[in-house]
Amino acid sequence: MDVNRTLLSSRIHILRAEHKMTQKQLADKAGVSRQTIISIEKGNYVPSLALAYTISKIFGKTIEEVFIFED
Amino acid sequence: MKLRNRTVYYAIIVIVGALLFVLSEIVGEIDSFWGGLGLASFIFATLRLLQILRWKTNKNYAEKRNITIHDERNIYISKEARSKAFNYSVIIEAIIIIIFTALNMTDYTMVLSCLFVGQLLIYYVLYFILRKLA
Repeated sequence: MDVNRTLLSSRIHILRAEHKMTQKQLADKAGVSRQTIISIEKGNYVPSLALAYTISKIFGKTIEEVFIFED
Repeated sequence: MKLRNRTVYYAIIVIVGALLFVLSEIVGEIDSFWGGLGLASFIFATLRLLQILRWKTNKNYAEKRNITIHDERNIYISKEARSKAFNYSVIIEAIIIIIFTALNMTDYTMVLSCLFVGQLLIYYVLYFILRKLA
C-alpha cells in the first residue's frame, strides 16, 4: 500500500484560521516549506508521524483531532 | 558533512582543479582532457564555496536552505524521482538489450547486460541491507 495514496483529510486550514496563522507561519513553526503545508491541506501529501505530531502540537491538539484517515 | 569539512573539501577541489588546468593548458605537461576536467571542478567548487560563504554570513538564506534541504516533502519527492529513474532506466536498458540482440550486436549486448545485472544486484543487496536496518 502506498502511504501517500492513503486518503487523509486534515483540519489544518480550519485550525489555522482559528489561530489566525498563515501557511508560511505554520511552515516556519513546523520547520517545513510552505509548499508542504499546502500539499497536506490539499490532501496531496501524507505527512510523517513526526510532522503530524509537530503540527498537532503547534495547535495544541492531538493527531486525531487534526488529521482524519479514511479507509 | 559538517560545514567546516565541506569548506576544506571544496577548497581542495578548487586547488586540484586549478593545478590540473595550469598543468594542462599553460604548462602543457598533461592531456587537455585534464584541463577541461580541472576547469569544471574549479568552477563547481568555487560556486559551492561561495554558497557556503553565503550560508555562513546570511542567516535568512541559511534558514531557507535548511528548510529546503530538510523538508520531508522535498526528500520524499527526491527519493521518489530517484526510484522512478531507476525503474525506467532498467526497463529502457532491457528493451535496448533485446534490440541489440536482434541486431546481432553482441559486444554492446554484453556490456549492457553486465550493467543491467549489476544494477539489479546492487538493488537487491541494498534492499536486504535496508530491510535488516528498518
